[in-house]
Amino acid sequence: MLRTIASKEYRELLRDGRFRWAGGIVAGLLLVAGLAGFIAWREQAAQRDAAQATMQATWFNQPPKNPHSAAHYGLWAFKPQMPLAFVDRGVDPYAGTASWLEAHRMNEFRFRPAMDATAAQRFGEWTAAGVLQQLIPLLIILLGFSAFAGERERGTLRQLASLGVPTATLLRGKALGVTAALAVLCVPAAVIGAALVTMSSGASGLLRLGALSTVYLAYFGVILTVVLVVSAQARSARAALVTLLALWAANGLLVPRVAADVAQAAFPTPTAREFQAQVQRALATGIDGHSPRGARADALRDSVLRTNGVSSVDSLPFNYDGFAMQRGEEHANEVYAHYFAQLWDRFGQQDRAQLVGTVVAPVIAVRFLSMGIAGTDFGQHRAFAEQAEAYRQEFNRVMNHEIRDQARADESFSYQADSTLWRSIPAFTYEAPSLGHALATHTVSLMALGAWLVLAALLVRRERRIEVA
Amino acid sequence: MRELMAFEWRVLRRERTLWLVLAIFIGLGAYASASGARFTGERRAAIAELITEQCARLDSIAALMPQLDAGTDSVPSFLDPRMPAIAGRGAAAQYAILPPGPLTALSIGQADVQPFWAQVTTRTKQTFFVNDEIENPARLLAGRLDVAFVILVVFPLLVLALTFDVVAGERERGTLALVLAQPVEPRRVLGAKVGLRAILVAGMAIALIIGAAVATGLPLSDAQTVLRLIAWSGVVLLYGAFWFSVALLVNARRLSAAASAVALLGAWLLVIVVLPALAAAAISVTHPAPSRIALTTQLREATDAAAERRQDAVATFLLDHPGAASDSSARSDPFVQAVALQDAAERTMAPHYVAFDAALDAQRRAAERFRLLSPALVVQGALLDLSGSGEHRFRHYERQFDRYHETWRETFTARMLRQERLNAATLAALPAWMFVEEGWSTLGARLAPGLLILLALVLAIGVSGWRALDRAGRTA
Repeated sequence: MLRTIASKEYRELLRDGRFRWAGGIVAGLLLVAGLAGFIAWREQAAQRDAAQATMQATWFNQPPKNPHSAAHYGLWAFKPQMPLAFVDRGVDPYAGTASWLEAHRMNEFRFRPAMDATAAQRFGEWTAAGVLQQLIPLLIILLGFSAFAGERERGTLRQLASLGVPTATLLRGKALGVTAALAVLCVPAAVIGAALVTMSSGASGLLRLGALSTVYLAYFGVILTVVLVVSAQARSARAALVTLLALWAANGLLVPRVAADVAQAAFPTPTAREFQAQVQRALATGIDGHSPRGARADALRDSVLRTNGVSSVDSLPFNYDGFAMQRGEEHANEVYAHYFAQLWDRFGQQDRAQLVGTVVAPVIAVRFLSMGIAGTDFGQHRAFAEQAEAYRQEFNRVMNHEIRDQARADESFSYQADSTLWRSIPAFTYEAPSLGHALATHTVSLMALGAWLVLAALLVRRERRIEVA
Repeated sequence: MRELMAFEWRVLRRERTLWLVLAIFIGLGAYASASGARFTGERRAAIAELITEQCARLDSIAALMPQLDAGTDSVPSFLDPRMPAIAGRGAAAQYAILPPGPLTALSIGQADVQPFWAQVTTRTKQTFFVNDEIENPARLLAGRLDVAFVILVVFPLLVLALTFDVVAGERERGTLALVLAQPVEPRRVLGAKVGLRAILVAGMAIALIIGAAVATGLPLSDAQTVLRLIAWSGVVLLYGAFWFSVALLVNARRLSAAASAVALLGAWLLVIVVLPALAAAAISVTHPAPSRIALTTQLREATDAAAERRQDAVATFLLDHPGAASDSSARSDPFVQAVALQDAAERTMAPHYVAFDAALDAQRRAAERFRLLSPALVVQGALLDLSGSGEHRFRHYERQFDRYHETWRETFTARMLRQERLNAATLAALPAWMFVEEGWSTLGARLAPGLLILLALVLAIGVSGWRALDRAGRTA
């Protein structure tokens, strides 16, 4: 019986001109979004890889110079494109793509791609993820809003009930029918996606694509259930459509924006100038606010002299400037690590606060999960920033230690090293967090989506009686 | 006619839809206004802070200079603000501030991703636009619920909710026959129905705009702001008229109320989602943004190349900048050398910069063309442009910025070569930053084509819609 119901629903939908049109449009958009995304992705990935290689070469090929000059020369770290970024660009357009790694200071990320895009693109641009998050639910609404309400209006629901069809079977059959109709659209999309991912990144990308598909399937399942339940409860097909559209607008258009505002209000971030001022104060006075830099430097010199039992830095067995610079660097590292961690933790708090909106808008949880799996969420941006910072600290340490260990007391800033030193530091590479690690940071989102699934299941179970007229 | 409208109003005001629509509109409008006011408030506060910092810094330098001259105070030579190279490189540097656009509180647009200030120094431009305001990228991704968003996305839905069953509703309820039986010309009845709704829709839009303008504290005593607000309202009304005429056309197709609702929803989807998506995809494929990453790498290579030929760079520089007090001392001056190296690197970079800007401008022009695909994009562009939160005002700022930067550098280079020292008087006479808004003629020329096309479209759809509806309304 289940099969009969499902196949009736499926055939009816496929024969319906409205579905063919709407499905065709959504499929077309998915294709356009996916392909345009892929073309841009490939172009940017190539540019980034070439630029990073050139950048690294400029570091390796520095002429002989003082190691501290080399540290000031520094290099740029450009954020690589994650394999699935063409499906979901996540925060990439808004988080900056490049960081300058130099002596003494940790820089913020620069070049937000959104700044160079046009307003028309910001309004109109759809990634494949956007289509999946917003338009497929709309399609599900169009497919399902009249599933019960329409039959009730036509009077066929009464006939079905008289045949003794159990409500649960009817509901499941309808769900299956709509799912089959959707599959006509989604399966080819997934196949094309898989082909593109294989082209771009191979097997590891496929695993992520699998995870991504699971999340979206769960999301569609939730949406489908809500649609069918509303259709079963609504007075008329028109009422069902209006209610569902209102829910859709709240889910996709309104609640995510409001949730982001509320999160910002609840966990405010400092302005850029406040942040810089905090950092500068901490750099000048030491991290606890008690030891000003001058006194700190004097104390350090005195303690070093005492430990080594000499009266002047010139008699130390190592170059004091190199040693002191590294100490200064370590202090700055601590300060930057502290304040950036504070800021980024704050972003994390805001993101979790946004998730409260999931109570009404499951898309929020899905959006975070999708970015997480695609490797384009803020957590993975932060992972990149932290690895770039570790690299910065490392080359600064090597440069300072070179001066400390190799330079005579009177040649701190005239001592020259050559490319053997530059090349002793391996090229910067980014180890992206594994899928498991990325998902672990989104447990709340996973739980929220899980809760929606449970709720959907409960709604289906509860739907034992449907008014037939 | 007025009587007919009064009847229609009595019917309409007893429907839940109207009040629901109004409640949603007012609620969203209030939220959007608050959001816009907060954004511009934060921006103004940040700008005030910058100006305070700049004034304090310049005052302290001006106070220090006479003391250094008199020898009552001393600083290390690399911090001496009287040296043009030191002053121009940071100590006396000024902020080139882009104030929020006249109506940014109504439409934040791109303003949340564009830098709004830069400290102008004698360094290369590449070091300037790095002052992104701190913002959770997830929030930038979610987008803002500002008045422009309510107008662009939600307003059409409300227009459609009020207009989708002007005729079909009466026909389905069977009351159309009764109406036609009355000794009133059907056209007048229809006119009353359509007219009342038109007044309602226009009134809602105007009320939203005025309410938002007051709530966000726009300076309504300023003629320029009011003029822009009027133009803004005109664009919104045109957009409302577009949706209204689409609704008339669909109403005339004698569909059932449900079918016409679905058809209108399809139109909404086409105009707000599908066509903009195609336009955006077309822009990003045909005119991808030029790569800042590539520019960074090129600048580094150019700087390295200049450093390898340091003597050449200095010689060329002195040739290009005659007027040095003494060529030999200029040649050995580390500050002159630094500027000369930068100059040489910039010369190598010049074609790259030109190409970058040309690509960006081409992308902007392409965006203007592809905008014409969708009325929503035309209106979005016009609203943002009038608000001063689109990409054009930012480019306008960048061009002024480039000129200011050029003047700044020339001023300090000349003084450095003449080995002049700055004093409090010359400090006060340094070129000051002043942002000049775009003129109406530029703005108008940019907006006119899109808006005229939209106007023609509205007239065409509206007239044919009205005629068809008039015919359709005569049969029960």
